Amino acid sequence: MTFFDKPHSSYKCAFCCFFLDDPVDFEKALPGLCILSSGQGDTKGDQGICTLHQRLVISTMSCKKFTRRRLST
Amino acid sequence: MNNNSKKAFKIFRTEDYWAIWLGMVVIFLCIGFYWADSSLTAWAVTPGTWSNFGQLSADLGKHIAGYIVVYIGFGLFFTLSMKLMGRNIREFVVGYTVLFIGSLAVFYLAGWSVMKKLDLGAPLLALLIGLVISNIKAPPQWLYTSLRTEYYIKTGIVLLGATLPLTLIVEAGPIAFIQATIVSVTTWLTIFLAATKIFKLEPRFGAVLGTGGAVCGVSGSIAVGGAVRAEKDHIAVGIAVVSIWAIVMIFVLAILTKWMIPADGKTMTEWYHISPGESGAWVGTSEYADAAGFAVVAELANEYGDAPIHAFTLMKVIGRDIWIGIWAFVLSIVSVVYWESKNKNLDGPQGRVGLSVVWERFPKFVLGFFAASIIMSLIASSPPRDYVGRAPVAGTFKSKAQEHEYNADFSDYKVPSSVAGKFSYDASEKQIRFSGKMSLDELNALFVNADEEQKWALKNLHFHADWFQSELSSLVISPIKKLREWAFVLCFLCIGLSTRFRDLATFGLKPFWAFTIGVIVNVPLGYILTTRVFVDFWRGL
Repeated sequence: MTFFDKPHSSYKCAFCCFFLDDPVDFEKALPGLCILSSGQGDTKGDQGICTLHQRLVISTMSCKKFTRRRLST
Repeated sequence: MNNNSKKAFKIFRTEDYWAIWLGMVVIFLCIGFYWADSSLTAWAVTPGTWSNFGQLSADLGKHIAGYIVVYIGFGLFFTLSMKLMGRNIREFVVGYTVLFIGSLAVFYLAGWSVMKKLDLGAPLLALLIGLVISNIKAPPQWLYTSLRTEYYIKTGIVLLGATLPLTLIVEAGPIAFIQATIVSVTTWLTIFLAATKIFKLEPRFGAVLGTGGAVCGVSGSIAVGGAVRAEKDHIAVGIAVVSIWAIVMIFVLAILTKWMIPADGKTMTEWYHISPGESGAWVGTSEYADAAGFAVVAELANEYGDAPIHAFTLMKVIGRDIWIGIWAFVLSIVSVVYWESKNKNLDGPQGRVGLSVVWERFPKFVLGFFAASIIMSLIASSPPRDYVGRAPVAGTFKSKAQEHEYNADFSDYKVPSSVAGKFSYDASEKQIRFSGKMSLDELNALFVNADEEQKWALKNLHFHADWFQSELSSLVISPIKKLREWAFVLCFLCIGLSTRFRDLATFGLKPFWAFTIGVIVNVPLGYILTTRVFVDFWRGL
């Protein structure tokens, strides 16, 4: 995948089980974030932490290790 | 959930939008009460000054109903919004109550004559007390749910919009933008080059640190972090370094600017003197986070009025914050084209970052700030056509500089011909009246036939004939300012209570020194641009 390739929508990080974007979990994963910022603001937006690669990524990104998140019932 | 409903739902899922809704509710309530011939002034209150327990208990008794209204009003709104943002409501309500009582205690402590002598206002006291408590013993986990620094400061900034005329934003915006851009680009390059060339840190780590120092602190580091796919640990270090420096700079800049502003705020007799407006602009270029910067300028505002707050907002919010999306977009391209191309083994998610990121990372609460300014400016620009100012012939004239009790008799007063149609005296109501706004020439014309007591009454009438000052400012804007003060003190107490230096100081020295080099460049550059290059503008604010 390159910068100019658009990932297939169903393989986006947004749907990956390794993608941590819930604001509460996001704030827990980054201690000190709430001193002067927040996981609930627009500057965080649709970003989350890839718990597999330990990187901050955007929900529209994608990778070979994509593993679909199970939908909770 | 489809994409559109997700977007529609977003306006109830982020603090930015909730700060706008809360700010607008407050502003429209204040306007609504005024149109209904009432005002929120009696309810939107903050403690006064006191020097003994008698005065303290009297003030508490006088204002207690107002505190309860503010507690319930803010509390209901914050609780509803926190519920919709998926937070634990029970923890929030308990924590918010503790925080509110703590803020009230800070306000009262700041109003004590001893603190006035020490020159310590509520913003610095809230921060200091919070820091002492949290660094002696970690606050209980449930309290953290209510420590929403960003939410409270964003609410305060939206309310601030109602007190900042749109004309000032339009006039100052370009200058603030030019100055902020010079400082932002220079600081970013300094930190980035120090991090990558001197300390050999990874470029994306350097970008995260640089944006934290140059644009909007921790939020800047986060916004850019995802765009360049920074490591989580690097983001954590960025947060820690930026937070520590931001808090250190609160005290450094507060002490420095308090020393540099002359006692009356105007008479520049020493080479190091700066005006309140300059101090706000300097803090705006040299602080790293909105909340931290507001702690400094709100402290200055206790003594020098709103000029430092206005200058800071123009510089930080308009000059720096709103451009964060552009930084994220540009750095995402640089990251892919330059940094990642050198590292072929890079693993992990990839993908393009579109131009839409500029809007997505835009701090939306700024829209509320602009909307508040536009609404209040429109109202201020259209005073009632048939407005008649009224002043009693016997009463008290109050201004910032003086207070004087007078008792005038206008029964034999000869009205000058130039204002004959506008000035009138109502003996039965014991009032003097003036139709429309009274100019200084008209006041001087009225002074010609007046004795000393009549002059005081006419001065009072001059004030009351100004609809903006006597009606809009005191009955609508004043309660908004009081509620803004509450939002700010809640925020500053949160900063203190959530900062534990021991927990933050877990990073290596390389990123710390890279950032410190940026600070060494940023602070003097901000000072020179503010007090030398753009001095005429900021001094006149």
